[in-house]
Formats: sequence, C-alpha cells, structure tokens
Amino acid sequence: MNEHKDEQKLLDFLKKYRPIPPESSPDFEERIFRAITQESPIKASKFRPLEGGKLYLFPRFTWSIAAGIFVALLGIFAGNYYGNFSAKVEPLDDHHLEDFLVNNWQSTMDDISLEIVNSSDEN
Amino acid sequence: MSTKVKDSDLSLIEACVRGEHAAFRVLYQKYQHKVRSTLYQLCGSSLLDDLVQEVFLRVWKGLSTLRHREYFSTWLYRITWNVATDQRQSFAQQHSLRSQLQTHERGDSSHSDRVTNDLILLHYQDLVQRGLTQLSLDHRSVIVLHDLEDLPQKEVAEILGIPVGTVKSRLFHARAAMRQFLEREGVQL
Repeated sequence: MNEHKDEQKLLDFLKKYRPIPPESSPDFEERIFRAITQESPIKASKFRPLEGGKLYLFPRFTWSIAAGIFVALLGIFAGNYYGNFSAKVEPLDDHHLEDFLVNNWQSTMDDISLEIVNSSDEN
Repeated sequence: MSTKVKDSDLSLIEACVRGEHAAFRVLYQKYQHKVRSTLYQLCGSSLLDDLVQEVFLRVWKGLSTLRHREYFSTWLYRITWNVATDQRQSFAQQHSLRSQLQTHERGDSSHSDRVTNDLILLHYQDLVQRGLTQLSLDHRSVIVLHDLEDLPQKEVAEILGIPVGTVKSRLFHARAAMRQFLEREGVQL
C-alpha cells in the first residue's frame, strides 16, 4: 500500500515538473512545408512500412517472384526425375537378344516363303 | 494522442495520401506538440527542430503505406522513437556537455534559485530533465511514453517492439533509478 503511494508521489512529481520543450522558431512550420513540397508521398511498393509494430520485410510482389521461381524449379526437377524414369531401359542379356533376333529373322523368312508359295499357286 | 484516431483524422490522412499539403498542415498542427515534447524528453533540446522536421518528413513519405490508419498515433510515436534512437550517439555526447555547463551555471546561482517559486519550478524541471538524461534510453523511453505521455503499457510495447512484461520490468527499474536520483538531489517524495 505504502509502495503504491510512494510510486504515485513519484509519478505526480514527474508529471508536475516534466521538462517543457523550448518553442520552435517562428518560421519552423514553413521550413517543414518547404521540405515537404519537394517530397512526394512514396507509393506502398517503394517503402517498407512499420505498422502497429510489425515490420514488413519485403513488399508482396517480391514474395510472388520468389514463389514463381520456386514453382519453376520444382517443375524442372520433377521433369528431370520423371524424364529419367521413363527413359530408363533395362539392359538386355545376350540370350534374350539372341532369341529376339532369331525369332525375328525366322518370322521374316516365314513370311517370304509364304509369299513365294502363294505366288506359285496363283501361277 | 489516443490509441485510435478519430474519423476526422482518418479523412485528413486520406487527403494527405492524395498529396494535399493543407491536410498535412492540419495534421502537423494537431500532433507537433506531442512529437516535440516526446523528442525533447528523449533527446534534449539539441537539434530538436531538425528531429521534429525529420519525423514529419518520414510521416509524409510513409503515410501511403500505413494500412491500419486508425492506429496512426502509435505509428507516429514509432517514427518518433526511431528518429530519437537514430540520433542516440550524437545526443549522448551533447547531453554530457550540456549537463556540465548546467552544473557550472547552477553553482553560480544556487542561492538565487530558491528565492522565488518560479525558480524552484525551473529547478525541479531541470532535475527531472537531468534525471531522464541519466537513465538508459530503454528506461527513459518507457518513463516518457507511459508516465509522462500517458500511453497504456500495451501501446508502449507496440511502439518499442517489446513484450508488455518487458515494459513493466523496465518501468520498475526506471522509476527506481529516477527516485534514487531525485533523492540524491535532495527531493523528498
């Protein structure tokens, strides 16, 4: 209780005898407005404001650019990944390759011999 | 300055954003006493006019970026605080020089200071000013904004960018230091 009273006395003293600033020079207001006339208000995109104690580190369009770059990079990586996946060819072993060639050759020969037979029949 | 500005201020701000100098003049005339007083209590009289001008130039340039215009006064105090801290180094040197000069002046006229009430008033004002000067800027700021400018602790926290708990803690230590200084100078509270 006493502490509260003491604190109130201190606050009353500070308020009663608070320093009073010296008066500004008579042409001070005009000086400010001369300076302001030379400055135009800066648009939001060129300024990083402090609003309600919150600092906006970057303007919003910067984040849009960053997001765009991220999506593009993601697309490139995804393209590479799936591209490599679909282009992958399992190495054939020699037996499979040999069988394939023989069968292929054999079927070609069968077709030719069949054509010869057909043409002789027609004659 | 209240926490939220009135509708008339909002329309003034809108006009300023459109580039109307006359509206900004009204805004300046309304708030310049508070800005001047706060800067004086934070930084002293050296370069006071320059600092006030800097605050209002920053306000003019930045008004179009202010989204929550109802919190204009908090934003204005924040800019005032930024200008004060930007000048902290040079002011610290100037304050110490001025304090030495004032000490000499007081030594010369210490008897006459107590003759009239006006002089006693000036003496106490000088004590409070010197008491504020001997505080760190962090402690001085909470005393000036909360105890002298009557801003609520929550708003002080927003202006300084610190938690409310830190404001309370700084207030406690700042008042203790202020009390010690005043008692050393012979003030009975």
